[in-house]
Amino acid sequence: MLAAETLSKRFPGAAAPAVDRLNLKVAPGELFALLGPNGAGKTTTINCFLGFVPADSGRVTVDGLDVASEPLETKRRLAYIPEQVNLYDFLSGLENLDYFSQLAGHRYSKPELRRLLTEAGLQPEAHERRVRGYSKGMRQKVGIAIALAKRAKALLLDEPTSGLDPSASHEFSQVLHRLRAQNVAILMATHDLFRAREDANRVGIMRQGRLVHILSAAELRQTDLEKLYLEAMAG
Amino acid sequence: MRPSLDLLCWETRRLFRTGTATVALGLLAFGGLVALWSADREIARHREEIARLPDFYAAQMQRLAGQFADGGHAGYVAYYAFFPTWDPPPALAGLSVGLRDLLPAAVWVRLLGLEAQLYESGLGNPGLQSLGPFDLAFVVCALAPLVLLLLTHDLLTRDRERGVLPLAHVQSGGLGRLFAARLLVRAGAVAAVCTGLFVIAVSWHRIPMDGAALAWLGDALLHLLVWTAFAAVVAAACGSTGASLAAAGTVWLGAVVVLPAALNLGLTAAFPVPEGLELTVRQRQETHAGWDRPKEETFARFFAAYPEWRDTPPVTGRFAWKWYYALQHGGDAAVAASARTYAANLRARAAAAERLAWLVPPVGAQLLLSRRAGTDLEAHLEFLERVRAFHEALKHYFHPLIFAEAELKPAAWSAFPRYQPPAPAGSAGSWLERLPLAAAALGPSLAALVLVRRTSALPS
Repeated sequence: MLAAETLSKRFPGAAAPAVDRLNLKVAPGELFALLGPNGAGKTTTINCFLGFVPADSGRVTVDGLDVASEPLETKRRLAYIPEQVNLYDFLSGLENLDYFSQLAGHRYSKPELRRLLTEAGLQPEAHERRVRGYSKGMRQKVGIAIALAKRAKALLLDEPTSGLDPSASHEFSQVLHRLRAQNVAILMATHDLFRAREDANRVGIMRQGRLVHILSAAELRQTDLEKLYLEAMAG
Repeated sequence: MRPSLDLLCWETRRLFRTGTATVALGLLAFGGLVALWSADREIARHREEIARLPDFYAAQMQRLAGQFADGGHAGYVAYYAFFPTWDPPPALAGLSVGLRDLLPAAVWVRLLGLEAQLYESGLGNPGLQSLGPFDLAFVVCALAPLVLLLLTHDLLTRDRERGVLPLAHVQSGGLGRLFAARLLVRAGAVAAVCTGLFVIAVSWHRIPMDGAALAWLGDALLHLLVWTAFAAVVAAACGSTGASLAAAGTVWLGAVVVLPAALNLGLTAAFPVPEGLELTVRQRQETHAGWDRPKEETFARFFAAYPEWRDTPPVTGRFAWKWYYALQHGGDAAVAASARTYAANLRARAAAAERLAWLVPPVGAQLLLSRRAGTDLEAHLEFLERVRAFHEALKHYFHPLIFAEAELKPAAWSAFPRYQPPAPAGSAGSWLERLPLAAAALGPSLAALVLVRRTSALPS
């Protein structure tokens, strides 16, 4: 569903490439977690899938469609939760969800919108409050609801649990499981080794724009992920 | 790129959720109402002035009847008799006052030399104003574009700065649909306020809703369409809200203030027009010089224009009314060529300004709107032509009496020619007239299309 083939990207003026000959595939129903320190190229990889950052070389495809040549169609198949979900402060959580769903061409009734927000973990009394007073975690939950409402074939997550408390993080993990069951392909950049281990089918460790390790679910069970990660970082 | 109706509804809700749009559109509406009120006062002043003309004329004739109770030489009576001519405000003048606030609504003429009388009431050169009086046309040409730019300049930049744009971009697929929806809603809101003001004006000024009135509205909306294209370029080209605000201000100032002033200067230099005052002075000098000139010379010039009096007996004494009026004609004849240049060059200026409307849309729109309303330069020049024709009618009436040395008694005065203005007829104009203005939207629209495609959701 999601594929990067020898993807490279170097930003103007940068000494090293942000992404260096990256090969990656995420199948429907699979969750691929990208681990790596800040600057390893995780966000750039996600931005390449989103079409926000054009690749210097290589190819990025979504559902077999080239992101560079089919930017509209590929975005239509993607949902996205950024590290910091920014919303319209002067609208309520419900209105934000309604607006962003309309942008994606989906029209939901108010009860459906409420159900989506609840499913994403936002307490019902907050639904109609303006987002201005929301905590980071609450905004993140609206972001999750927006992604759910899009019913996309693939989901791109850029450190989605940052700012979520452990129980919200757990709820989020359950949402991801449900999405996987619905055959959604998920690519998640994260610093959270615990969640990566719990939720992912496969984990890739990135360093200086390259995938230095890829571990399958079976390998994950037998590996001390933290130790491997630290070793990988040490080079 | 086509936004759905749902999205348009949402964008409308979003627009009015923040107070800025409401305040800006409210100010535009308020400005429009003030403009309508100001135009109403101006037009009412003209109507009152015209309505008083019959009374003034009657009072004058009564006074003259006292002076000439036993009758007087036709030339002598004609010397004192002023005849009113007037240009009634057309139905749409309440929308576009045009040049009417600068130019006289009524001109009193005597049988004397005409040119000086034409410019006596309005010595200013009518080609010298750029954007005209504060009327609805000004609101449409100058204020509405400003409000449109203020509402649209940060269509994408503000969301990019808030960090909302990446999510909005992924959700909508491309930024084009989002951009189009937002632009459409804002331009629609400005157009709705302008249309609302038009509807208020129509009922306020009791304007008949005919083809000309609808064409006026159509031209006003066409001008807003051109500005929508300008606004799209500003919104798509700038990377930050600060830059887009500066660009919006620059575009507005350039198109509404600087370029019209430059165009005006350029056209004034390209088509020099003698001032009305200059014509007046030259005509008077010529007339007065005539007192010391041999009478044969004065008559020769007069007979060239009016050969029917060639065979009348020559003047032998020091003074004769027919010689006096021949003298007056001499003054007019001396500046006839300049008067023709005056009209021709004013027309050439207006035509050139219309052709350049694609470069300076507010000027083009202002010209179109005042033409629709019949308050433009052409309408005034046509009025002056009617005054000339009436002056000729006066001559044709009085010359036989003067040359016959007739005595006129007040009882005969009711037969004096009276001016009758033609019934004002509005015109919807042709689509060709709108072509230069419509062409102004073309370049910016294409540029905006390209720019939106290149726009990134991420800050650069």
